[in-house]
Amino acid sequence: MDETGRLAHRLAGMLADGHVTARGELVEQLGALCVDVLPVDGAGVSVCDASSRRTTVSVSDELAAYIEEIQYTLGEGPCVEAFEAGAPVLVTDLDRDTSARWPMFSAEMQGKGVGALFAFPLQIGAIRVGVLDLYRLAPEALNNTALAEALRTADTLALVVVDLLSPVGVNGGLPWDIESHRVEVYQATGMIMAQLNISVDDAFVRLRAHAFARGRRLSEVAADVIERRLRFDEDLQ
Amino acid sequence: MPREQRLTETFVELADTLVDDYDVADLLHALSDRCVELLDASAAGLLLTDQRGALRTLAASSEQTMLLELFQLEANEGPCLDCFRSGAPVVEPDLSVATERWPHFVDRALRLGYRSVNALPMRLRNETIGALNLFSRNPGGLSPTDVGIAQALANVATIGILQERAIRRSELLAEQLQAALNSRVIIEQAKGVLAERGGLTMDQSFAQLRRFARSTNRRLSDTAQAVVSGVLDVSEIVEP
Repeated sequence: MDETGRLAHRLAGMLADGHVTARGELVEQLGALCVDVLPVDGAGVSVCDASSRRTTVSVSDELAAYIEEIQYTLGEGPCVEAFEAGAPVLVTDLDRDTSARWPMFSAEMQGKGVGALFAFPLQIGAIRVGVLDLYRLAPEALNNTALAEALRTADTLALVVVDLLSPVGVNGGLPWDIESHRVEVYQATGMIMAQLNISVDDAFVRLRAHAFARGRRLSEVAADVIERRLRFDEDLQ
Repeated sequence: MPREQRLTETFVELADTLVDDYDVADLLHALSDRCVELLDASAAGLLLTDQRGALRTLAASSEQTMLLELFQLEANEGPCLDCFRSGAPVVEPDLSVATERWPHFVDRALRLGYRSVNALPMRLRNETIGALNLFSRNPGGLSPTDVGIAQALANVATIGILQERAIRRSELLAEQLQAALNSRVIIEQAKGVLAERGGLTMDQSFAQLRRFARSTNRRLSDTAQAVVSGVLDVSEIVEP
């Protein structure tokens, strides 16, 4: 079972073969990459920064762009709800399931040809940085395999977007891997937040940057923080 | 108080919780604590599928138990994995003779002082969504009565995850599971903040977080979120 997911592999491959030199260039391609790795017809990735400004950073096509735009304009829809609730919102049949929940959005989507819409928050606990929107032309549910891959894709995108928004920056070269989703990493992130009096997002990036700069495993560095062998306020990076 | 009475009170409390507006994280922690109080178990842990092909620990009666659960996941062996994969209860009444069954897990569990284990599936229709694990310092495992009670508690946990909001659609399971998993991550982040600010262990941090949530009548998840987002003054929690 590959827990890292196809998107993480694709991104690593693109960086490794030298096609893409700046990681920022990858961001524009995320929507199209999601369609490559998932059984969906379109995808959009939007980012929400600390001041709650929402920006669509990448879409696979115009319909995906429209789905993003209309939701942010109206302030309602699966994508908006997924971000606010911190949980996926999976709408298998847009015609049938939406009019009561999102009346304005539902009315705007009439006749656009979108059958199903799946929104996944990009989050790691209290770090919540954006949303992945996926659509299918046919009103069909994601099966378990597709759901698993969509969740892994959202996990990877959460890391990409955290880096994009952080002062350390998307070009810091930090790995976007599964090691970030571990209890010791969550706990150490909280401790670093308190040590440096910074946001949870920044603490998470600092932790990963420290491990990366020293060529150490993230889980080991996190364990050092929890066991109080390493403090970040004494460590001037 | 006689056990029967405590048991009755537990189920009444759980039933009441399920009809009110409640917090899944709180409910699952209450369940793991009640298992230790009511049954002949020294520790309890609750694991759920992350729907990506792995299991995650959602609640544990202590940090040590959580680490033992994580160890099973990493070693890819142990009663909870067997239970989850088969969807059937797994019992090992004497861990000291079970080295062949789970070499790594048994070694770790014995070193922590556990002598027996019961793992019970959390099932919904044909799908297994997780497992409840009960560890005991005594050999023998749980009595048949205790197993029945534990399975009932595991079933309540399953219902609790699904009923947080009224069941509207078939996609609800995925939505609720993911929300519960992310709440757990927020709690871990909050424990880190409290451990650092208050010079506490992770167990103490969690106890303080929970005490504060209860005494101020807040949900555990909301309290954790408030700690991590900086909305809440942490000194209120760690310096009571």
